[in-house]
Amino acid sequence: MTTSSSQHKNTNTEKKTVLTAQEQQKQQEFQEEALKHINALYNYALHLTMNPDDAHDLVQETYLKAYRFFDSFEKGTNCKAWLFKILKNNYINKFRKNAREPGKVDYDLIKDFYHSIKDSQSDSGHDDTFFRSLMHDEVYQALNSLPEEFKEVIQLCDIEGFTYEEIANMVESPIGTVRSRLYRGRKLLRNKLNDFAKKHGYNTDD
Amino acid sequence: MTDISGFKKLTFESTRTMNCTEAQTLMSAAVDGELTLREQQSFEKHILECKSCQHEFNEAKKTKSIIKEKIVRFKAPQSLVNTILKLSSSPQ
Repeated sequence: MTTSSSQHKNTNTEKKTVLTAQEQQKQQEFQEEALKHINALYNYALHLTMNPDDAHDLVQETYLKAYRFFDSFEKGTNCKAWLFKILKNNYINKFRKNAREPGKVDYDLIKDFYHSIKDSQSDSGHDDTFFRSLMHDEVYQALNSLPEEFKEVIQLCDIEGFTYEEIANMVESPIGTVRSRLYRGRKLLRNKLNDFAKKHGYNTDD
Repeated sequence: MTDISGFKKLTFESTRTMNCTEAQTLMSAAVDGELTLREQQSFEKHILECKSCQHEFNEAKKTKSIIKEKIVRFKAPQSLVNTILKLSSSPQ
């Protein structure tokens, strides 16, 4: 009886050790794979929520969920795209449910936030045409004024560098739709930037 | 060419010159390097001959580069990084 009890105890201890090792491996893999994308996720969350506090919460919740379901992440696939999808779903559940539309939430706050770091922006120093001298504010404003479906694909493609296949998966639309949204979105954006140029007295006609 | 669903497939023969509508369909993918080799050849052939599509293609490339260059990227606050490190260090 004593032997049996002792064996049972040993098995429990071994099991606990194995679990701990698995947990440790998961932690290590998660930190290596997922944490390096935190800046990209934070920026995307800022664009979506227009509020630094909400962006902070959204990213935190995304990582919590990602860690919980990290076993379901297919190794070798794009972890950044996986995290973005979780963040987007979290955003829809959290903000759309509460009918807190982006753009209506503390717009002044995000504007101040952007202004406060504007000076740290490096100047690209290319040629001196108007477009090269456009400030972050103007480009940000133009991008932000686009309808959501165009803004979203431009952010995911031009800022985050996702492929069309990854974007199609994130926005749950066919690749053809992604192509056409990018085409129309960039055209709209160009018109808005041209408006800025004209406002500043530049001739944008080639 | 039609696929099993009966829809006309968007494939381009490199020997055939595409029209402007077809070129516009491929414009964003051309900017992002998402065309197949055959599409790429056909698209390039078209914009060499069509000044209007060539102009539009250059403008689209310029718009993409402006977005890439001008949108400021922020660092996530250290407090957020620490919180996530902490939550991924505790057993779930």
